[in-house]
Amino acid sequence: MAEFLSEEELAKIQEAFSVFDKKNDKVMPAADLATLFQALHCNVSMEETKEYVQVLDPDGTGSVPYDSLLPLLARRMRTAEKIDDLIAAFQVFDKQKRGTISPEELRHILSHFGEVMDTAEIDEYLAEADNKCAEMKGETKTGQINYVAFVGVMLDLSEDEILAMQMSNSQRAPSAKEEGPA
Amino acid sequence: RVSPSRSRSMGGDKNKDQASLSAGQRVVVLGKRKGTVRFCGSTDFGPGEWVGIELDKPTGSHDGGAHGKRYFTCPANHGVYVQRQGVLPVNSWQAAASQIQSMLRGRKDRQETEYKRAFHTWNQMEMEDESDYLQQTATISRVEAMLRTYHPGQAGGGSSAMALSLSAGVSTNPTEWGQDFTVGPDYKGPHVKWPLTLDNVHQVLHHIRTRPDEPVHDKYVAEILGKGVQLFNEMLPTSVCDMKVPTGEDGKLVICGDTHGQLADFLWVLKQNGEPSPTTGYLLNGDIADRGENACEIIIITLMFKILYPEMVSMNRGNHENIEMNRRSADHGGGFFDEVKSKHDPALFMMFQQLFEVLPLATVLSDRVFVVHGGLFRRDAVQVQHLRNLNRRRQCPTSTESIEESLMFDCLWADPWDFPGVAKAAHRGQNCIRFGPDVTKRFLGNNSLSLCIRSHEVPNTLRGFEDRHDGRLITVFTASNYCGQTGNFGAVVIFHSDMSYTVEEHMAPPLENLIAEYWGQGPGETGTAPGPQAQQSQKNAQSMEKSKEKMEEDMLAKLEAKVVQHKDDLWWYWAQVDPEGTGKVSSSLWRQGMAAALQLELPWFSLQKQLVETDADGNVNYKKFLERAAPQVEQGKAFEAGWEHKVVLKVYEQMLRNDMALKDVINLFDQNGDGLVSPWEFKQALTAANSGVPDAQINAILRVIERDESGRLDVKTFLDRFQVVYSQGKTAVGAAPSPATQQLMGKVGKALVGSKSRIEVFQAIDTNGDGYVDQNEFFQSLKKMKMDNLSDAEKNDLWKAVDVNKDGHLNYLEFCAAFEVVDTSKTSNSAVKEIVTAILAALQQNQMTLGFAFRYFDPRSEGKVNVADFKAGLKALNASIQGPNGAAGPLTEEQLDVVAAHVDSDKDGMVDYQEFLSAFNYSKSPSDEFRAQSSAGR
Repeated sequence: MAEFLSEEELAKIQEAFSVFDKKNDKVMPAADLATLFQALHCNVSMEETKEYVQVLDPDGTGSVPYDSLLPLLARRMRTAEKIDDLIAAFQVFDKQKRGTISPEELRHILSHFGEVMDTAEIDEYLAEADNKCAEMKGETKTGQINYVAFVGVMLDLSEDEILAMQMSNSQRAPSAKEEGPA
Repeated sequence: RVSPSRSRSMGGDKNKDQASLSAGQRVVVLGKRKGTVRFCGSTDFGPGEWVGIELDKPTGSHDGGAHGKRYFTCPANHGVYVQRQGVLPVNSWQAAASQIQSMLRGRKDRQETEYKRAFHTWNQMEMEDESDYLQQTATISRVEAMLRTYHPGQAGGGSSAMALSLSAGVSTNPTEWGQDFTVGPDYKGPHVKWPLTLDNVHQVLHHIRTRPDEPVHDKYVAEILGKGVQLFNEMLPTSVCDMKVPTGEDGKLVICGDTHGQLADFLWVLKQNGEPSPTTGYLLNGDIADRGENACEIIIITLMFKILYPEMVSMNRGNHENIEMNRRSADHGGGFFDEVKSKHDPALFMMFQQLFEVLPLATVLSDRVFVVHGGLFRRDAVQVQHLRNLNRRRQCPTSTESIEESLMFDCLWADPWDFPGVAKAAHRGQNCIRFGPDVTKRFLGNNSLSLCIRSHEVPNTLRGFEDRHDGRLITVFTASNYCGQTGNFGAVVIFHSDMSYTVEEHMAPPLENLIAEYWGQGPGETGTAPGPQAQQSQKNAQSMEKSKEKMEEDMLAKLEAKVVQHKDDLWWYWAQVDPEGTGKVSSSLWRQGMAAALQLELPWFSLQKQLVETDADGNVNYKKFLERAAPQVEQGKAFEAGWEHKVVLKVYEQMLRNDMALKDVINLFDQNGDGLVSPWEFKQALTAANSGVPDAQINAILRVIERDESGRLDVKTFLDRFQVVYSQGKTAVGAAPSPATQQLMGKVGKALVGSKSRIEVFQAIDTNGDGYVDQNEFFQSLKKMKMDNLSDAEKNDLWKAVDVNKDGHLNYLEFCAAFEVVDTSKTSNSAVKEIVTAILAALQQNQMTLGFAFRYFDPRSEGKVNVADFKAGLKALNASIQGPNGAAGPLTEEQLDVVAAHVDSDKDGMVDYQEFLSAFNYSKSPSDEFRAQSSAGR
């Protein structure tokens, strides 16, 4: 599988792996698998991680060797969700495609559905969303979160990249431009 | 937009998710992967309802056949079997929510990973400081040998603190310490009376806890040090200390790892575990000094309690209890000298050094536990008895050849690792070793011990504690948030009277908060002290990001210095794989070059993004990268302005002087006679012609020489770029000479510069030595310069031009000085920059050795030496770092003169070498140019 990886990808994987390979013997703790996958932008859920641990460490030794991890990781990196998939996930809650979501709604979703999060965790994200991704009307915040920008911030994109994302997204869904009630 | 009705509909959706599934239905598996149901029902895999799914993407583990069973068939790697509750209808809120949550959690994980990576890198660069220290100690012994022949009778660094104290005029009799100081009426701090009482100790402790910035009086500190040294002397006839864990129900002994002057951590530990008493013992396991700002106070507190309870309190020596280490700046891993100097009389520094040399090298706890700062030994079959008989009243050895030297060295420097045996530890530099679990097991077994406790490094886990070698070896490190940036926890190991132990981890609040919170009074009181939660340091994303940034700044600054140091190697490596001289290499070659030249295993892939721009083809412009790397030196401090130009002129002169010899050698390489040679042939030619130009400077010139498309360079063009000009400013009064005469002057100048000493040409003729020659004598000198093919008319023209005031005499001293070699090429500016960079980098790299050399002439550390001694110091350094082929050190003799002339700015014959050296301190952050330009949009 490694032959499908470019030199750059391989270097990236090796470097991420070595953060967890404490003894430098090409083995890492199974407990850190989720973090490693996430570090490589694989966007795995907790359930998925559990499955990977089962595949990679069937006997429950607590550690995973680099060699058996590499092909799986490479495949996962190839098929990881793209930005559009993540925006689509928000659109599930935004039938009118306004491009925004209210903090209350997001809080409700995160605390009741999927792999639920606790209040403190959610507070942190909402604060950041309010800080960096507030939907603006002129100079004032509307109180809504622009979730396209939010996805960009969460993926650590630069301001320019987020702007470009928002541009292309509004082109695809011109209906999102509709004004709220006066 | 959230309405009650909508919330209710969410609940409805949730119920719908659990409805039954049928083949062909689109679903999401385990939170996120999309696919189509192919099977639904019970299986042999386990109880309950199972679903077989064909995934859209090849993220499955089979083709429908699993564990010898098959319930459906699909393409390979597309199939999964999942229990019913792991499957959700596509587009369900559950699925979308899970996707969003994964994204959010992913970001946190990424931040955590990057933080850890930043720490690993930072830690490695910090080890480089120690490695550099060890490397320089080797250079220092060579320099010392040279200086001894120049000026015998001075004490050197290889000797003991006692010998150094003697030559510094500091008493070596600890019973006398403090006698020379008197406490004036304006001293507001605590007083110390002998014999010491607990109340008195509390007064001093209270003072330090509330006003740590106001040092205790020199007299008292000296007395406390003196009593401490006496105690260690009396109690420890050998180099290993024996301690007992106090008996009784609440008897305990607290072992602290590195504290590194971080008073907040030490005070926190005292507060949490109680101060030393007959039932509470303390052992500080070395590295109390350096880096932090309050090592003096930690030592004073510890010694006072030791004086009260001699059996209950002790300290082990660490690798930072060492004079040359302490003399480095805090940014270079030292700082204790600067701390003492800023608080106390300089004599106290030598007293602290004498204390360090009586500290035991290891401690055995209740015959069971071996406590040592660094680690165990490269030599097999070491008995504790061997360690007892080591001579500890000396500086840490710089060689590890004899058993004795290696044992002491390993006590202070060794690190554990997880592979069997002993290996050279590249990360800490020469002579250091790592020892494996088998070494620990054998040592403990041979000595009937059960546990080894050591310190010396922040555990990679960023905890204050690490358990290794099958539980036989514990690392304990007490300084939390080490250096104010790593965010690590600190810890202590506490032994109880039954010899069981517990570990207490902590994150100490900043000193000012600690004071305001617990001993609050005085100015700190108005501040809002954070509650005890502050120590819990739930590391949120923000604080993690902050320490990451701090570590990165620090690490990049150190990395920049490394790149400057290894510029030649880097350039050489990349130039070899870039034969056309495009200045670019592929990303992976860039990374390999960095790893090879710097000999550091760093995450180069991540660093690449921070350090260089990568173009669309994945290539890196290494030329630009190297041009950006320049040593950060505060030039105003080191040199008067104008030195660069003069220093570089000396290289040009040397080039010109070697003109003929060079051409001969180059002919050997230039087989086809087209005047083109490769840069490497050119370099060899320069070396062969014995040009006397240091290697680093030759390389600097090579870097900026223009080359043709094939990467070869034109020697003739190169040599022609150096022209001799006659600057009239110094002698001329009248009109400028004609162009023809100017050309003649140029020739004379070239001949003059080409001769060994310009002045010598005239001196032989000027028999009365008054510095003047007449017309006849001038013509004779032309002959000496082999310029006898001039016509009489030309000679007369020349004379008219040089005898500017028409008095029939030529002031040849001024005449000689008026000739200058200039680089007329377009790249002359970059050549100057590169050469100056090479010189500064060499001086910066050897700052510690230089400091040693200058102090050799200044045993009382007054900070000044005369110009001759300054030159001798530079010369010794120059000679001691000569390359294997005898290539000269960083400076030529003539350049040395230039430097010496420019450091004595007030021309009083003395050089402030402290200021000179401090100009070479690393800065805390990398220069703006060093970072990749594109990282602004990060």
